[in-house]
Amino acid sequence: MIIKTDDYIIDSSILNEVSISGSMRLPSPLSYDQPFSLIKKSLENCTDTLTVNLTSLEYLNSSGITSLARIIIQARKDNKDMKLIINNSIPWQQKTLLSLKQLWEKLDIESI
Amino acid sequence: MTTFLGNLDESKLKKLKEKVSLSFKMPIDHSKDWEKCSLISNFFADYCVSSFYKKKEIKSILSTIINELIENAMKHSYQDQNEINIFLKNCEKEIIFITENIATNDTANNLIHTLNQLQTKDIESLIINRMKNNLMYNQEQSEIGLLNIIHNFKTSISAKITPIDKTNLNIVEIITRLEHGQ
Repeated sequence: MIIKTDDYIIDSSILNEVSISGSMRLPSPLSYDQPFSLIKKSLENCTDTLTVNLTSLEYLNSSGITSLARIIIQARKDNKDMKLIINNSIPWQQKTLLSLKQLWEKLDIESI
Repeated sequence: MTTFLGNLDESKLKKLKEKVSLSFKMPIDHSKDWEKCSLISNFFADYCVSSFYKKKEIKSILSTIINELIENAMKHSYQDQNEINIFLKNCEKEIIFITENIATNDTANNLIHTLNQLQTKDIESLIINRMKNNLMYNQEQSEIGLLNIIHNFKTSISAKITPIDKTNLNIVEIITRLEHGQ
């Protein structure tokens, strides 16, 4: 499934993979429930490590980071493996997303 | 009584505001104007970055910081107040942003609490704990915006809180400094 707006695209059409691109600056963590439902659904259905590719995500505000953290905590509870692919030329990704490993030591983060 | 938090006093703030490079008033109808946070952040970042060498990287950092500051001011503004003010000052070695909004006593006290916590606690732990609490208590707001920009971009944040006579409201000014060295 693909969610496409003027600002961002979330694509979960490939099994065990989700990609998010564009700019996500929604007003609250709750407002991410609908677009991030694709990640949650992919996590429920995954047959292997779920890879979330963020390399084309230019901006994600603190509400979005909190929502992503909620999904990581859920993956830990469900004992599902999860991997984030991040872009080392986007400064906030390097700084913010590496901290998410503190939520779950098994979270795999690949920086490219 | 006016409260100053961080490395700030009245004369420093006055000098900063006298030399503002760019100022902006923004309407705050939360439901209609939210997307303007991002538009204005990108505009301010573009404005600042014109003289920098690594434009793309610095624009990304500035837009991220300014967006969190504007979102913070918007979320914490008293509902009957219909605008926030944003000021920018581009100095030789640092960029300074000031946001100004009207907030209730409770909101102002929460800001004081957060800034005081920074004196004694590890910021990354504070952020992680707030993320966990957000899920545990299904909180409406993330409350990590200011913490993130301090932790990730080594900014320093000061604040001035001025009570408005005969109300339970305050003028809240948040001053953020980012050293750039270019």
